[in-house]
Amino acid sequence: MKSILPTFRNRSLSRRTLLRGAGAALALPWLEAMQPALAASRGSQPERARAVMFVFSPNGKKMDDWTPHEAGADFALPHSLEPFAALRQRLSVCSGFWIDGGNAHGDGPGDHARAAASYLTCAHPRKTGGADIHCGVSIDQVIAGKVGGATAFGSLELGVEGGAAAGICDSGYSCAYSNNISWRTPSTPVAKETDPKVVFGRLFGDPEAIADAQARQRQQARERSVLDAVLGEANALRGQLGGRDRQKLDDYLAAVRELELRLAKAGESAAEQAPELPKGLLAPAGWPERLELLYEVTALALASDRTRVVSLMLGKAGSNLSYPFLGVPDAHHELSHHGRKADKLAAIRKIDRFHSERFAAFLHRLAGLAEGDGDVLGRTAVVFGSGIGDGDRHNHDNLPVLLCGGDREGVRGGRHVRFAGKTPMANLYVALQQWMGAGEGRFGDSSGAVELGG
Amino acid sequence: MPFRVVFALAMAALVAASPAQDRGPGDAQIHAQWAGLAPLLERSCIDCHGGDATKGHFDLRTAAAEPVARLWAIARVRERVRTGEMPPPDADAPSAAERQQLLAWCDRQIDDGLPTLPWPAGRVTIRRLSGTQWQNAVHDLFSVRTPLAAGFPTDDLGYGFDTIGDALSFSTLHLEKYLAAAADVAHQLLDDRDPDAPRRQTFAPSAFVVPDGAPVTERGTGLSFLSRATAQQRVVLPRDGEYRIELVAAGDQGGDEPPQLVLGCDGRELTTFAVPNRRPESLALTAPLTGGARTLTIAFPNDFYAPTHPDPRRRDRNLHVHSLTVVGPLDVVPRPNAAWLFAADPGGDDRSARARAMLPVLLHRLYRRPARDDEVARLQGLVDEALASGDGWPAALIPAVQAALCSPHFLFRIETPPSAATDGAVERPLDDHALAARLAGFLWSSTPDQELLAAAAAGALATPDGLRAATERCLQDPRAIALVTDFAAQWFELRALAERVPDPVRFPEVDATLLAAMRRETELLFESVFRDGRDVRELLDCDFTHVDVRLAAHYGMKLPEGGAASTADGFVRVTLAGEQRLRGGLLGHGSVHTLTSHPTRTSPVKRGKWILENILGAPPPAPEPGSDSFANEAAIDSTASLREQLEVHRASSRCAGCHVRMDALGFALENYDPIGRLRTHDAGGAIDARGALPDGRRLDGLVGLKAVLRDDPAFVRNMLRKLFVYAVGREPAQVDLLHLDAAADRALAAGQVTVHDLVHVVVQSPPFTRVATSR
Repeated sequence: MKSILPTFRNRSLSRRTLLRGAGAALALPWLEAMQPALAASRGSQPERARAVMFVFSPNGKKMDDWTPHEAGADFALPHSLEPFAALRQRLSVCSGFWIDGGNAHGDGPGDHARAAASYLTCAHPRKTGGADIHCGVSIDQVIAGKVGGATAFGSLELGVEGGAAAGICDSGYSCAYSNNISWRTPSTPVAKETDPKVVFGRLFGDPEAIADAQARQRQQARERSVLDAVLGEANALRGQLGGRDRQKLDDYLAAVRELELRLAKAGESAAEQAPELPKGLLAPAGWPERLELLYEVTALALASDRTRVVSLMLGKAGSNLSYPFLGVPDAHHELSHHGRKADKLAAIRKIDRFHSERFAAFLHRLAGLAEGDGDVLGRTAVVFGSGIGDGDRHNHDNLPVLLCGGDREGVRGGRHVRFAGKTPMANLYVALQQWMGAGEGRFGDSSGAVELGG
Repeated sequence: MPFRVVFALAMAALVAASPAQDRGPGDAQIHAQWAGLAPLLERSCIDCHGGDATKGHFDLRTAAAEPVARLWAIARVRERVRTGEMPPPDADAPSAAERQQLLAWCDRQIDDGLPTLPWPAGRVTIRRLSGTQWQNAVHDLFSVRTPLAAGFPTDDLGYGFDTIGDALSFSTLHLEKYLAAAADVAHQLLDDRDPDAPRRQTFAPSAFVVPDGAPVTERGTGLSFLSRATAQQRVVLPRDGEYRIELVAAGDQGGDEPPQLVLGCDGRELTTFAVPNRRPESLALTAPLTGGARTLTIAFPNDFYAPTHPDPRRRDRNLHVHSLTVVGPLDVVPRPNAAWLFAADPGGDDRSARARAMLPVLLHRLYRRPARDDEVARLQGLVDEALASGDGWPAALIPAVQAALCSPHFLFRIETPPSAATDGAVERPLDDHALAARLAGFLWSSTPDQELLAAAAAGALATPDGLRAATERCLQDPRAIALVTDFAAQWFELRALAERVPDPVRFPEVDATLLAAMRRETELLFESVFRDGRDVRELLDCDFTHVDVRLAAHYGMKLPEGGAASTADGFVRVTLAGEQRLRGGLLGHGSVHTLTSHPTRTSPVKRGKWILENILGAPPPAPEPGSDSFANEAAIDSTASLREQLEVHRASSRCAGCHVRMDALGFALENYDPIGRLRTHDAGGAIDARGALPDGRRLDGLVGLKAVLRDDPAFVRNMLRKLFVYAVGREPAQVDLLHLDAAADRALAAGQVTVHDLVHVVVQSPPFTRVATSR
């Protein structure tokens, strides 16, 4: 199989190039990388399949309600973290991380777009309204490239908001940067799914329609033939294209190959038992209900080991969702520029608390999914955070970050870790990459790996 | 023009009032590039835009080294001076006469220099069809719509549009969705069966699902219900329609009545059969059923067992079911209209040969160019495979249609000629088929029709006149409505309207219907200007609008008595007079007012920014990050009274440069509340919609604003730029903008400017008709 990584022209090695390049250099051509994992999955399967999830919370947090005063195990939960009280032994509050890729580095405004684009890539996105989009490969995709072959879905990308329907997303940055946190290659964000009903259908199939095993096999055979045909078309075309055109086609080829692998695995496995439809799935009312269902569907996906890598955006960068059901009719991003005004701060506090509550409920759900002598949360590490600290300051340091779960597999919780100022968030990602068995290499601007169990 | 009037309170800190110093070699550069203007520039501009200080990343010394950059710099100076934004007021502000001299010099430089400046093709990345284009193309090809297209991932925008090659990503999720949607389209097109030979699905009793422990046994060829029980069978029905359910069953008549067989679907009883005979008999029911996966149930409700009954044959009542067959759909539904495809079917018994005749026709339309042999062969393989596995006709074509719809040649517009650059040319005319595809993409958000492909094949698009004629035909075609629903809806950000959530407490009247009506009003304005051949400046000011009952009530407007709806969805064109005249033009539309408001209140800043970006094409830079600027921004954009807000702006040199103009434009709309209703007061008292532009012109409300915008050449220039980006699918380079602005100015000089005029400028431009070859 040919490498699907885009080729890079030589550039002068400015600091920004290094920031961008490091993520890319580490990213294995992920379908190649998938093969050994796929083979391994047919052989001995570890009893507990570790999984990892990354949650992006837009517009930062009200940090004085977020950061505990005390470091170590004996800390009081601030207002925004109170919903995690019953889970405090199973999560760590991480203070002091920064993502330098989110900083301007001479590119001027656009911190929200950069916050999303750099959140999982730790790269500095190239400032462009559309031409030559370049960011980095995101950590979830790096991990999926290594371990994704073991499950039907290498990774799952979810979000509450689709994309901007119109306009300029953020100060000269293409919407690709604001709308996505997962990047398969430095130029290709991974599209995300926003409809929990459709996610459920993708994961488990239409529980009615798949009942007929024969029909399903026949349909899968058909789909394989169709994929073979379009793969032939694309391969014939590839040699005729160059530059960004070829990159686009490589994205297409990667998609074909991933679907082929998924179909191959579907053929091997016995009929999957689809879980019961979550309540309300068929008619979710508004985005808060969709958010809840996306969490639920994610829990089902992790519990059934349909995937081991998930990314979820609670809103696009600079999200302007409003929260009238909390008594907050104003839009989130506008509120986040609070100028220290009391009414805006109070509204932000409510929004932060809401997302903590929803996320805590999700963690409880994972904890309630018992497996053997443990539960799904015990083998799943979940990072919850934002690419911006204080929404009013647009800072990319001292980010609000929680590291949750994974505690039956060596991830330690029950503490507030205060990292030395400007510890790269990439150090956490390197540690998780190792924890997932997805390699030892550096990632982004990492300078080491944090101790998950220390 | 007296700057000082406008900038009375402005920023001594911004421009140090230092006299021009000798700057060594810099002087020579300035003199060489700016000729007679040098003394003026050195006096009024160089402190901020030369050498050490280059505010706005603009340096008069180095900006002019190369012809494009030089003219660009001149155009930039001209624009900023014309609007009065530059130079900012200080001790060395130029006189009005000096400004006129400067502008005249800039005009002359551009007029002289531009004709000799080549307009290169530029480089466009292959473009995936946007979601809209995919749906339109499939509909135009096959008259089929699939609900699955609504689930395509949102296309990422670049430069405000979803037609930008680099921003249109492709991931596995896309392919999954395309595969499913293509399968649906192919089935709709090809899977409706011959009504004389409807599909039969027969289920053996052994395949029935019976609850554990139920008194049902499999005996020989049948399923025997020995006591009350229900058996289930899943069945997938291709579509909604009439189906016949055929059963073969027998009964043992214990007691006084025959066994009953209750046939149900999804828990609903369809009918009850009496089954009196021990010999198997056929039972049938024809019923309308909903398509999709259904659960048929067979129940035996009236068990009877009396071991002491005098008649041994009446002691036990049982039901025996031997088979279940579902036949259908029986009703004929019209085949979607793809006559062009079926016309290529030569008929006959050799279905493989029939496919061989049809596939090149299919691929020609789907790939927007003649098919190549290897492509046909590949899909022929799929058809043959389907035929070998027993598929009927034309169903055996389904996998081929599905594959063609998922091929990169359909999903992407691929324009690079395979033989590129062998002769060393850096660009060449786009091949005719690719040009046809660009035309259909631009004007129809779709794919070429037969006529356009024929024109391409005949070379008719290769001449400017031929291209013009084809463009004109496309514009006259109903499909050109896409310029309204796709282009204009993106340009004015109307697509975002549905996402707006004005505070439900303050504005309980807002719902999806009202927001949709607002969008429609603005689309209908664009449609009128486009279809009636009106001057595009009527978008800003005209004497009519379109409202439906809901929107009229929202505006407090009376619908004309007995007036017939002018559109199918109930919108009426209303001629506006008097007070209502203000609604004429999109800045009087609730859509724009709602789009540019916070959920709880209006935002002059957002409104001004929207006008700068979308009307004048002069997007302001975002505020530089930094706590003090943001603190100010928060203070500015707050519920403080308008006058207080102005004061905050003027007090900050960092804000004033952009905000003076932006706020003046936005304040002029203050008479419209956050959902577009006219108002004279708000919570803070009487509305004050006055403002002053940097060039000294005063605005008071929408009347003044319209006059200012209508007269500004920037509007038509901006519209042309937007059309260009949307059509060409890439970032406009400086050289593009210079040529486009000049073309817009020429159109303005000729008097009336129509949508058609501007479309022709774009279509005839080298970036549209030519392609870069070197990669």
